Amino acid sequence: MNRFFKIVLTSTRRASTNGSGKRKTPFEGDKVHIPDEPYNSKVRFFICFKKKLKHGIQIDESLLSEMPPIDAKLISHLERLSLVRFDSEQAVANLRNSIRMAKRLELVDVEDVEPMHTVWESQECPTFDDVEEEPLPIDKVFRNAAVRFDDFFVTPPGNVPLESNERFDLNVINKWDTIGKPVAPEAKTIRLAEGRRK
Amino acid sequence: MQRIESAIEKAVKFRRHGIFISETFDLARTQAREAIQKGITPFPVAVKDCFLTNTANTTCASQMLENYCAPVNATIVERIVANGGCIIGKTNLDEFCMGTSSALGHFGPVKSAVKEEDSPDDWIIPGGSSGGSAVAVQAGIVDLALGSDTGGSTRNPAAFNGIYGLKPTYGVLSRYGLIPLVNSLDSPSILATSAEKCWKYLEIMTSKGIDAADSTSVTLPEESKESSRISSLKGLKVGIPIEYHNECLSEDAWRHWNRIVGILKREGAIVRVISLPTTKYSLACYSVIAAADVASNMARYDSVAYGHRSEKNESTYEMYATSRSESLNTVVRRRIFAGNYFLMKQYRKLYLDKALKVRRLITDEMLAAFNEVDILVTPTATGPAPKYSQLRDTLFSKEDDDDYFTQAANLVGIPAISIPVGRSDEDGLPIGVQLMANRLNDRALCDVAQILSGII
Amino acid sequence: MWRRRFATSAATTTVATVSRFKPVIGLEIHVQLNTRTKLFSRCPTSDASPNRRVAPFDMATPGTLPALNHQCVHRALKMSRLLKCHVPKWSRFDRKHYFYADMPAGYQITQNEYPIARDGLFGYWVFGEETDTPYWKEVEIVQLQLEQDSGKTINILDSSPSESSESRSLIDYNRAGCALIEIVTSPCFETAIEAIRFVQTLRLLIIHHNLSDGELHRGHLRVDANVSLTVDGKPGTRTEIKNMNSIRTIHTAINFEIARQFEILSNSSGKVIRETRGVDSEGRTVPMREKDAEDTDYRFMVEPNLPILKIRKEWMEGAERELETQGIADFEWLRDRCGFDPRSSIHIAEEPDLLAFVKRCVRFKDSGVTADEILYWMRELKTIMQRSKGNYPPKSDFFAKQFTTLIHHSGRLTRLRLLDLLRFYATSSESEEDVLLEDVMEFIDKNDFWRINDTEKIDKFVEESMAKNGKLAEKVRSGHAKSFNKMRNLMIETSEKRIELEDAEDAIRRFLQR
Repeated sequence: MNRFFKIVLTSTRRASTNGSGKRKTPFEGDKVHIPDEPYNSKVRFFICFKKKLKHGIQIDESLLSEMPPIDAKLISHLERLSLVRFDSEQAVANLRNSIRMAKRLELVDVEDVEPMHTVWESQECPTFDDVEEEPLPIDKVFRNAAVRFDDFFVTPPGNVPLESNERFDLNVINKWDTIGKPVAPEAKTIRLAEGRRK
Repeated sequence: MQRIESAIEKAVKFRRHGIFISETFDLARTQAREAIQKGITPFPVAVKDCFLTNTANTTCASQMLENYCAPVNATIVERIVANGGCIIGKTNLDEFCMGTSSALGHFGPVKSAVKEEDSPDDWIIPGGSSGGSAVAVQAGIVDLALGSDTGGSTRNPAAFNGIYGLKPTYGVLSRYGLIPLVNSLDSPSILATSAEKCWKYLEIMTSKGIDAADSTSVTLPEESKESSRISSLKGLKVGIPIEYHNECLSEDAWRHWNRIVGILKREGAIVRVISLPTTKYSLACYSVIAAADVASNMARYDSVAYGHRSEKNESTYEMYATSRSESLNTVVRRRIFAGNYFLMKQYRKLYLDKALKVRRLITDEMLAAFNEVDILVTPTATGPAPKYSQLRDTLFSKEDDDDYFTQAANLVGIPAISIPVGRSDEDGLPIGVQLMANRLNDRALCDVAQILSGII
Repeated sequence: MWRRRFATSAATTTVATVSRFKPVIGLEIHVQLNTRTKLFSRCPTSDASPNRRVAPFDMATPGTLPALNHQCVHRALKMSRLLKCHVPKWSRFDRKHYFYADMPAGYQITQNEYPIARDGLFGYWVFGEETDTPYWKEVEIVQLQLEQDSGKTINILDSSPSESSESRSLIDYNRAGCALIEIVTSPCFETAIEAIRFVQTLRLLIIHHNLSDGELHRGHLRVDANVSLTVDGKPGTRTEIKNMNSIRTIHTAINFEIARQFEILSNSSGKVIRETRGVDSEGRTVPMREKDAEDTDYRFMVEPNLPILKIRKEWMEGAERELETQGIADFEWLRDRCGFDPRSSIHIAEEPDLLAFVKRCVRFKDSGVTADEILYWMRELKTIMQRSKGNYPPKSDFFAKQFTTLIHHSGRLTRLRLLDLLRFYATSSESEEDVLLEDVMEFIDKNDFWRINDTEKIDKFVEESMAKNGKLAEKVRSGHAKSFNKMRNLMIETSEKRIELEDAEDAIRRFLQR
């Protein structure tokens, strides 16, 4: 409910400034060549619209499968798979939003459709003769390495799983739409990169 | 040489716009001298900082690659330099090309130069992710800027800055040396001041044929270059997909689009309103495919052979995770998490495979449309460039709204160009219209764009 | 010592399994191809100091793209044919994601869903201890895929208890991106012997067709085994054994693992944990400090930078043609053309010196000499050389010729004479340069070493010997066994080893009965 209103409010606010979501009028002297009523591209609105007509309910997410709650296990599993850490409840909530966006695809009928992995699907993989080319000179191999020991790269001890502690309020995450306090990322100060390292 | 010096001068003058991450003035001068020696006229070029250059850093606007200097040059960089291109600098962008605002990179934002700034804390967004490249062209620093386009990253800033942005057919320009965002969608792209120039530079960069280093390269058929040339709009079959007038489109954008369609009719084009119903899923489709590829592509940043390295040293994974968390911005990290989620064995079928199937539906639908029409005409973005404050207030959600118009061309792999068609009513900001053609019809697309631009 | 211990435990297992438990073993074999350059870059693969064999792509330089090595495809096609696999019209590459310090991209490019070949059926001989009868077995090849190798990690362990541990890993990318073919079998092996004979056979084929250098201890061939025990026909939990770097280790480790699982399962509450296990220096499997299998998710996705690999007809034909030109492998030649038994064929083919010797012998052998005869006299020769501290087998052509000649004429020489001749020729003609001898036939003729078969002549020798050695003859007559032997030896000696041992004994007996 709440989310629905939020979206509507945002979109009406925007509409008031730039006419989005509204019927359009052409420049003076121009005819209407393009349908002037906007098409609803957002699945959510689309469903809501349909349902509203049919049953008089405002929003019905029941057409999409239920959003699985995000739990601590998933958070730490994803951190291990990604080797990145969530820095806040908002970061996890963002993941939740990404999943929700993906769920829209549930409404598309893809029976008997093959996945399309690339543009040129019948293209053949070229193969190359087994003829040596010069490898990188050693100084170029190590040009960007932060740590070097003799002619080796160096990593800390391996085979230790990433530590991942429970540290987020799951309630906040799963109810982010209603109780979350989103913070926008901030732009940094303009500067040039430092010169090339020799 | 004069042209190069004046480009350098302008680059310095526009420094407060954050156009460049690295300035390579000496390199440009050297390249100019070499070109002259070979009897070629040098011209200034700006290169988006996601293309590898082995003499200047390549940062992708990320702390991760803050000091990174690649061992090789990108193929198209080599080719443009060989034809007289002189690299003035590496241009600013959204970190790892993720975004359409060029605002959140590690080296600060790119600020549009289409209007005088009114406040140092707020600015007109140049679009993105190739924001720096677009402003470099718009400000007159360079004749050509190299951009990349995965979901609209060249066309969007072209529209916001009132210039031309050509995303060629997938595979026509080599991706060797382009730090990937989404491999199967990425197209190196061209920003210039006319459609004709866009074509000219595309021709230069493809003149040596396909690049063996990129196994997905294709070549523009020779015959198509001439035989498919279009000299008049008369009889041109133009499609207007109704789904592109969605609820996010502004009055300004619609009016200009409508006006262009009117002009096309007037010039004898046959205009048809068509429907591409799967378009509404393109955003979801794109977001899943992109996230999965991003999660995969970003796995290489482990700070061992290159990249920002944290002081944390307890274990390999601790070092990796901390380095990555410290140096990749929120947007990048968000996509990595989402991508790994979509790739998990229990979700892959549900999300990634599904998205790839929807990609085929979108593709089939659009390719079928090209059986009926020669060109699709749509808006490039919801409206003119927003202000930074507007984006921040909506938590950058407007970026997705703009992506809606440009993504499909990447999913399908077709060429698309954004051309400037006018200014917004209220602020006088540039507005663009997008033209799309069938795969490999890049020449015809540029012709139509050129003719149309001449009339507007 | 340790070998015997495990042999015993394996034997107990065999008995036990008859009742309720049956071992099920599957293999994953990584073959490092000996191409000049890597799978996706033209970086040389030759030996070099650390990180001297690195192209931009091999160190996962962002923006660089894979370029497929044709020779790797060619070799994979040859391998497919050797293993009687089906080669589909096209295959595809996938990314397999996991973080490892020596895998710079964070994923390995491999072939998961659409491998270059699948569904093979490969037949080979299984033979166990000397007394078992060899049997033919067909192993099911599930799939055969091209993939990238990882780099190498050297772990520096600092055992000092201090807070600031200096433990770390050193990474060398030289091997990163080299070409591997992974061969996956179904869990179709029932014993460790079946598994190792397959690996041995495969190894010989691979070397013969120059697909790989095939040295296990150098990592050209890496074998992982999945081991489980079915309980009353129901599938059990499997473990994966890694890091087995010799045929013998594979054998002992699999047997150890079978015994270990048997012990666990014999206890009604015992449960085998699904895990990856390494192998210690004594061939015992030990848990590896690795993330548990449940947690691993490789997140496969299609490699977007390589179009599908279509197999052209002429590629397949080229591979077949080359296999044909190269001909059958040595072990097959020994087995199918020369009549050696399966065990000896493999054994000889695995030992380059033995193989060279046998090849020389076969070159000189008359039709009358059989493989079994060659094997028999090789064993004798080996004993001779061990006693005389000489090199076995002698390397000269000359010797091989004398050896086969002797075998051919073995019926006309006494065993002792033949052994003497072997010793004499073997120790004095080890290498070609040493040969100053005449042909053995000439030598025998000249010295008249031919065996005396004539009974009358032999009887004469008895008479003479008995007459000459009166005291001894007395004892022989009285039935003293030792003296009997002494007399026999005396006879053989005086005949210059021309009388066969049994003949001499018979003659003495005849003499006594008279």
